[in-house]
Amino acid sequence: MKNDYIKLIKKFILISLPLIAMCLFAYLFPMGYMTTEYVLWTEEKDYVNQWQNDTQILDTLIVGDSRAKSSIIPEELHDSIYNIGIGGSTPIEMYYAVKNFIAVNGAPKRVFIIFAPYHFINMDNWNQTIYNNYLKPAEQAEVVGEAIKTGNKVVCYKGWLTDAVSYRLRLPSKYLAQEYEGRFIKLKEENQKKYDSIRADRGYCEFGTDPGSDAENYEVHCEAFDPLEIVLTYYDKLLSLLTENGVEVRVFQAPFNQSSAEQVAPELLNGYSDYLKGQMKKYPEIIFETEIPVYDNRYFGDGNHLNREGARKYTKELKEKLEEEGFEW
Amino acid sequence: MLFNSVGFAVFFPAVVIIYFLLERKRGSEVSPEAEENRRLPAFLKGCGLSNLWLLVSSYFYYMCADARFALLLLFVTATTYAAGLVTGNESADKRKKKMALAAGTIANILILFFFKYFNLLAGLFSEDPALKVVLPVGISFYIFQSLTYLFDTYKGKCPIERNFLKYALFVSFFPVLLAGPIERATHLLPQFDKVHHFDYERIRHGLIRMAYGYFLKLVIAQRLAIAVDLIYDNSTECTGYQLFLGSVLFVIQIYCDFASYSSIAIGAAEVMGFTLTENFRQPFLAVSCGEQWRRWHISLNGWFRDYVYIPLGGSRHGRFRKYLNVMIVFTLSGAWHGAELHYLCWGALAGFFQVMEDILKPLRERIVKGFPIHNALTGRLHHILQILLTFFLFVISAVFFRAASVADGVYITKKMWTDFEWNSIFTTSPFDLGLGVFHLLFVTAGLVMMIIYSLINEKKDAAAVLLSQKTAVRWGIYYLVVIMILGSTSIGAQQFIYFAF
Repeated sequence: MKNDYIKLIKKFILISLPLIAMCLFAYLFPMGYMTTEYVLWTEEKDYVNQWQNDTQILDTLIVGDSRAKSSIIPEELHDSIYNIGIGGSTPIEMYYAVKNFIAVNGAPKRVFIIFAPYHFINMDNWNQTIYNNYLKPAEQAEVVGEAIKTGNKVVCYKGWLTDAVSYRLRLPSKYLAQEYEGRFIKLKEENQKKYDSIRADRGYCEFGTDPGSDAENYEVHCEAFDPLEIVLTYYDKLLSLLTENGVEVRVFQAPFNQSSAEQVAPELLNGYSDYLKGQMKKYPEIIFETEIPVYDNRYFGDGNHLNREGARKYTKELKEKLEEEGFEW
Repeated sequence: MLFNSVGFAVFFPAVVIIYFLLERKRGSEVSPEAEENRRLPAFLKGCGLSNLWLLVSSYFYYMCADARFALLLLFVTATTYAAGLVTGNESADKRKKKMALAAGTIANILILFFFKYFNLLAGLFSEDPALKVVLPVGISFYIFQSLTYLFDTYKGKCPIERNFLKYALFVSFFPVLLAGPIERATHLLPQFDKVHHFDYERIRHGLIRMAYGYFLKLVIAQRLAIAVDLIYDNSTECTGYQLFLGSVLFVIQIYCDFASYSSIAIGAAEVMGFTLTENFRQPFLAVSCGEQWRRWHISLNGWFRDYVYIPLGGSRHGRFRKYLNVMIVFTLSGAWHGAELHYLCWGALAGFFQVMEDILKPLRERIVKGFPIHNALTGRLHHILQILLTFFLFVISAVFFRAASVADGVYITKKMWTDFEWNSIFTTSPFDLGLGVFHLLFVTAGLVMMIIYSLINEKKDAAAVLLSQKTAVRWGIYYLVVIMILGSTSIGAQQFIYFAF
């Protein structure tokens, strides 16, 4: 009888070999088949989790979503900046990014934060966070705990645990379609190039490349500023973490294009501004910019993101503004 | 929790391991019943911890689908259990037994009727009814299964099961709970009294049955669903040939879908030591409509035969009554599938084909007799022709099963004949079916493997044949199947079609 048990276990392991091989492939060679989005997440994750020899020089972090990523060109603003924003991220991902950076490299001297109001209202990119295995299991568990407390269904949807395990194990049900799509290793070179170029640009990345866009941004489709509780919790946690570590924090706003600015609901802008004013009171040491600038459509690569020309303009204006203030780098 | 989900991959081994540990304990006791009677609380006596574990697991499994309906499952169990105490009581007078049978049957049929037809009836009176009823998953299956207990205890074929927990396990046994096979009380209930030991050979055989089920579902059915949906969703733009092709693919899809569920259920039960009723026996090798239905969804068709057709008189009261009974049974079978009229049409059409087949039997026999050449080759050709004709008729009736409405079914059937466009046979690329190279490769290889398995299974037990092969061949096939299954998981887990019934 005992032999039968062992025989069955042995055969189970043998029969599982193809599965193990597929999971291992998915785990070991993601750059071969994953999309550009993954490259952005990975580059950032690598940056914050690795000891940076140049932290003495790069002591300023830009934190936020795709608008942060695409609005500030570090090398045109100052030599000391690295942009760790991620497309589609919310304060949840950025809280852990900063926390990990501090754990590995110590606290940065200053942090500039840029989040679109939309990412306080919506977490539709949470699936990318899970898909790219951005958070560590313990971090993910912490987010789930918070989601349970706040009743957040985006994080705690039906079957979230099964999904979480499936993504962690890199099961073929989750990654095989993309492996086919990327022909397993065909994208490696292209992805590596992208990775290197983001690194060379110190985290800056263009999201829309059109020479102008009158498309509506995400905020146009929101009737009011109705933020998710879990996002607010993490925004608060992010600010607390930074202030507790003595980091100089400034909150900026990325511009809207003209077309969107004309259509966006005043309730949304007012609600967002009121929220930030509330935060100003809570964190008097942080300088908040509450007004969202409006740029001409020609500076936008798509409805939401500045193109390179727009980013140059925004970076330049920011630099001038800081210089006027007598900002010390 | 679908059979093809990660959840089940955790649930099933956990249930099996604990079940065997408890069964081992039960089996090692000199007198299991006596031992358990001493140790267990009164309400557990005669059930056994291992059966209790299966019961808890089955309810957990059901509650994963929709926790609310566990109460309904319990209610169905309680009513049929209570009625069974009377219908199976030999000392009770006949009138009482009849009353209990009627009460138990009517109560359960009403429940089924309410959940299946309420929305349809409400829709007749109001375009937007205030109340919309959600169909509890598996309700048609477990109600029919519990009714077998009532009918068989009434007929004296099945003894009363006094232990409520054991009876509850019979109704809710998780491998068959959501989509059958519909088990008879006489077949399944006694199996809960036996001790099931860990048996390596049996487990291996059961796992092969399960793997075959996963193969049918993931490699074939899920891919064919893409093509079938594309064709049926764009029926107005398709030629008659494309619609015919879509219908043929649908028949293969539904077979692979449903037979896969049955195969996984039978395999899962076999791993634990239970034998379930075979639900499919190579239906596409049938040479007549009658035989087709004896090979397709055997447990349901057997249910209708034993509990509807035969009580109605079967073929004992002349031809007209027989045909009427056939039509009644098939129409009821259509109604069992759903509240929509197209299911009724499907059932009626299937019944009609069977009646016509019987009426035309003498004529067919005369034609065959009058055929000038009779040798092995013509015999073989005749056999193949019969198989093809049976399959063709099945495809025609299945159009109404798949169509969204009767009007759609009529439209598609009509278009198949009037707008066939022979040249579209050559101009329709397989890539027009929404399947890429990988999918086409997988589905073609899958169909070839399914045909080989079916042809072997027609004569022998294909799983046993596989197990008797040399190690290299066996493991080559195992790996091929595993890789094909894993390579198909990227499509995403789709629900089994019969969950909707």
